[in-house]
Amino acid sequence: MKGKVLLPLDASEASLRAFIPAKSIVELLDMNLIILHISDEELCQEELFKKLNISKEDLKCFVARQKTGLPEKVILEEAKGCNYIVMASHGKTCDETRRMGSTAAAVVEKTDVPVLLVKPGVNLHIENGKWLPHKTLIPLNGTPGSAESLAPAMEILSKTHSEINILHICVSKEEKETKEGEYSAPYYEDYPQYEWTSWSKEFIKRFCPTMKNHFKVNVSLSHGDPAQEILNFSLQNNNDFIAVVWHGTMEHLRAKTLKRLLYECSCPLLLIKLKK
Amino acid sequence: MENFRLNYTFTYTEIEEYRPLAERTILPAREREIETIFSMGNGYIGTRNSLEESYPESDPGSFIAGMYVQGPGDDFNFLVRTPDWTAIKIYIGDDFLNLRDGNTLDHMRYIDFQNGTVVREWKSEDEEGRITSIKIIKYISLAEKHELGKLLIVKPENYSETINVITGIDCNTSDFKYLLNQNSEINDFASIFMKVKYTDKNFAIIQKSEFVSHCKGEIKKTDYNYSVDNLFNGSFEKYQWQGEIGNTYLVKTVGCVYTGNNSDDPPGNALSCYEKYKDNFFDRSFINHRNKWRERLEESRIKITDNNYDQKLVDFAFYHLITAGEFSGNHYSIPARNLSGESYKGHVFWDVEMYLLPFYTYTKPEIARNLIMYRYNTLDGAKKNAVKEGYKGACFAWESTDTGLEAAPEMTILPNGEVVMIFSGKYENHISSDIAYTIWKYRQATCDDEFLTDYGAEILFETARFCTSLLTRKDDGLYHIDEVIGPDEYHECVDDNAYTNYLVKNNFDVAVKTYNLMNSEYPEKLAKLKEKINLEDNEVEDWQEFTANIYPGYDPETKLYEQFRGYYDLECINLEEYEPRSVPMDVILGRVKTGETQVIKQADVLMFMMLFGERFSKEQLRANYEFYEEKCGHGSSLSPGIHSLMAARAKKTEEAYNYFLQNARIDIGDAFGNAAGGIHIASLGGVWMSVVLGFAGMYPVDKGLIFDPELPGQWNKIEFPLKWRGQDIKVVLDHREIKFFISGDKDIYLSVGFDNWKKISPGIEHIAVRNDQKWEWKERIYERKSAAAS
Repeated sequence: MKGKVLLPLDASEASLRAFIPAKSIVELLDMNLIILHISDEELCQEELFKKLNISKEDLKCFVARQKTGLPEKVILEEAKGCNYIVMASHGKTCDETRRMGSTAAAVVEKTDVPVLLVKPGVNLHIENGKWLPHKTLIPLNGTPGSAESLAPAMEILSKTHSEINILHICVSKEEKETKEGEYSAPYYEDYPQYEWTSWSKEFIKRFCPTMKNHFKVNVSLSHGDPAQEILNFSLQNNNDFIAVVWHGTMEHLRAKTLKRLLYECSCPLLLIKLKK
Repeated sequence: MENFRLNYTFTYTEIEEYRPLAERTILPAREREIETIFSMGNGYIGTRNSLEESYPESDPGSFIAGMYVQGPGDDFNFLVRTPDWTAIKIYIGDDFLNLRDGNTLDHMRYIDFQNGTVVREWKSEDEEGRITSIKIIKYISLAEKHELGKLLIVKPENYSETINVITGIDCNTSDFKYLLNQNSEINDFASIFMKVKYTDKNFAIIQKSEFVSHCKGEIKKTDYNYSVDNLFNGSFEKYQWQGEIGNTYLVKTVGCVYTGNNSDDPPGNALSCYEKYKDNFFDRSFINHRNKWRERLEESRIKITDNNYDQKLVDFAFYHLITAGEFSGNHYSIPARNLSGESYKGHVFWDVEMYLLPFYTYTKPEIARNLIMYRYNTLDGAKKNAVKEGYKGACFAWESTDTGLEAAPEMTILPNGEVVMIFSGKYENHISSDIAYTIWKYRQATCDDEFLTDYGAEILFETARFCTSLLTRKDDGLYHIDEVIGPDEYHECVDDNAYTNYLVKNNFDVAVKTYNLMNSEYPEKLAKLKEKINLEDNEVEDWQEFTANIYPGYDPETKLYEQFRGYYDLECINLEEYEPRSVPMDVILGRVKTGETQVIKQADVLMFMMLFGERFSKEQLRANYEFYEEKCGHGSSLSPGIHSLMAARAKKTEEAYNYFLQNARIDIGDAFGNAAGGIHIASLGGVWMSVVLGFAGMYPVDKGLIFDPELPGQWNKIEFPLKWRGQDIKVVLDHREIKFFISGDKDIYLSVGFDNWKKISPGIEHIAVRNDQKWEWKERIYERKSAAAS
């Protein structure tokens, strides 16, 4: 059975930013696109597409669904059985002073399906009508769990020629809970000419085994505040796609890095919840 | 799986306590680390302990000492990865037995310390419900340089079915960019003959197996089909038989490796290994290996009473130290990561002299001699290095291979994208004087004048000449050495590095001593050598003058040695403010900034104070330890071991113990993320050093051995064997008493505490007792037959 990509659209210009990325992922992975519109209006297919401002001719395998109800509830229900949700961070009310609209925030937090979040002002690298990441940034904390959770990102990237920049950020002055198989920067750096080559190879083998033969994978190391390091790195390296594994709760004092990325990041973010 | 009989007369037995480490988990992320930890070797062949059926996360590989290659695009040569002889695949019916399919009921890998093997036990239930017990035992022979063995035991627990086993040499793991498979075929053998591209080097690996089946403990004849497949990607023996429920089936394999370095006909020589044994070749090969292993263990092992965990740590170190050294030396040495991984490209560093030679010199001096001979055999390369840099004499390579030519790169790219220059090959000159130091220590421990006069002297004279090139006489009338890198590589191109100056001074000193010794006792040899290397008498006079007048950097008031001129002016950083941290300080601060601070990478002043410990007072030792220890970021894996040793000598025993643990766990814990690339063999040498030279407080000096012990509270008693001037010494030490059992034919001198010498005769047990912090020799002396009998 083909996989499914859910694309919620509320007919706003902001929400429409997610259309091309969703369509592109569907084509890359040979999946079905589920276009979901939630409103009380009763629209025929023609009217729906007109309202959403998309053209049926641009799409191959798709299902267009109209539902009524509380948007976040409907989206979460429809997302069951989907492989990805691709949605805009903001909708009709588009208040860019907030990191996400309320619907996106609720979906991101409550679903276990990976969410590709497209902010209104982000740069989308589009060629021949297709969004294809060229330089992907994957921050990795060196735990097997987060690496394993990255599978959905790898699935997309394996179909592209994107350069993959893996960024490991070391944090000092913080007691970390260590997990078996965890791998961080070497405490000992006997000789940089060998230590870092060896470390990078092992990092890729350990956490991105499916990528070890990808033609352009590199590992970088930085030290400091994770959000700041990710933002700096993505700016310096012109990353046009970032995949992030997170713990799944936006409660007060949690997900500090992700919250800041949602405010400041200038490219689409794929948010993947850590596998439990 | 229970103990089992290999043949009618011999049973392979294991005792649980002889498993220093056992790994039960199978976590793909850690697989390459496990392969390193359980790697095998004998100093000539080294093999990663990969899962025999191989998985995507596996990184199998074998390395043959000296098999360095260099392609047209390579700056330097490196140790090439050769085919993997451990490959085994098992099929139950048509189903491939593996960890992915079916249900793994039990799985364990461990080092069998009693037999010197690595063992894997695996119980698997497949989708049909068939339960199979597997045991695989592997070793690289310590008795025969070219031999290795693997034993597969298969037991169908609840079924009868056709069983297929493919066992052989997998070439997929080898580096075909540098190796050409010559596709040799030898009847009834799996065989690989490979040639190195760009050079005339070659090697052969062949294997031959025997099939045995057991029923209820008795050998039972079972019909089987046998064939050999020679393919481009490997050569494999294939067995097929009808497996019967409850029976045990053994496939016993002996492999043999020969290179063109030591043979004109590698495949022919490899075959002769089997002719030697005729039948039961696995059993004979294994028993020889096991006996040699036990002999080496007896000669080396430190026993710690009542602390199983620490015993496991030292046993782990001994497993790798013993297997790394046995056939190493002469034309190759022990690489930084041993022959257990491709990190560091098989290059040889000062680690061998400073961290491994102490263990070999005082437990198996023949190995120490061979390792120093490697330096002698690369002396030509060292002379070429000196000429290239505009120096006299011999400048040994900071990174050495089979040629002795400098193999350190000049730049690298850090993971943050920064391009940095690598200066160690050009400026880390102390390596030559480190080698000179170990030659003298070897001679001190063995009285091997033949080695000193035939080989050592030439190295000492040529390195002294090289040291002369480093000196500049300045206005203070003293000789200075500018622009060098000491062991602390955070500070590059510094002037008057205290370590370098001290070692250079010692280099001159031992060169003069050797010259004088030869002049008085071996004048003919001296004359020959002088002619060979054009040594003039005035050069030796100069060395004497230099010895007395090298800038020491010592302040008698503070009792401190300044690590290099200007060190005290650098910014002082409180390292505690950065704890806890998981990264080296130069990553946190940046390389440039780190160089502007007093943060050091590893022991530097403390390193030479360790090497010449008997020359320094307790006050000097404590002052320097306290000053430099708090400035050390331990950015090198070599650091904790030396700090353990020095803390123990400074009687900071608890601190010493913590450093001991930190050092001994470097690979086992993989807390630092770099065990996958190979064993930190120097750190394991540091385990022996911190116990014997640290906690037992042993100082080898010209007169004899001084012991100034202080055991950590976690240990009740330790015992260890030593070799000193041809005598076997067994030392048993607890918190208040130290006993010596000596066997041999000569008297030696021992001192417990400083200046408390006693002439010790063989065959007698001697005891010293601590009385209010002072050691006293006890009158109760009674005869024992020999150290071995104890």
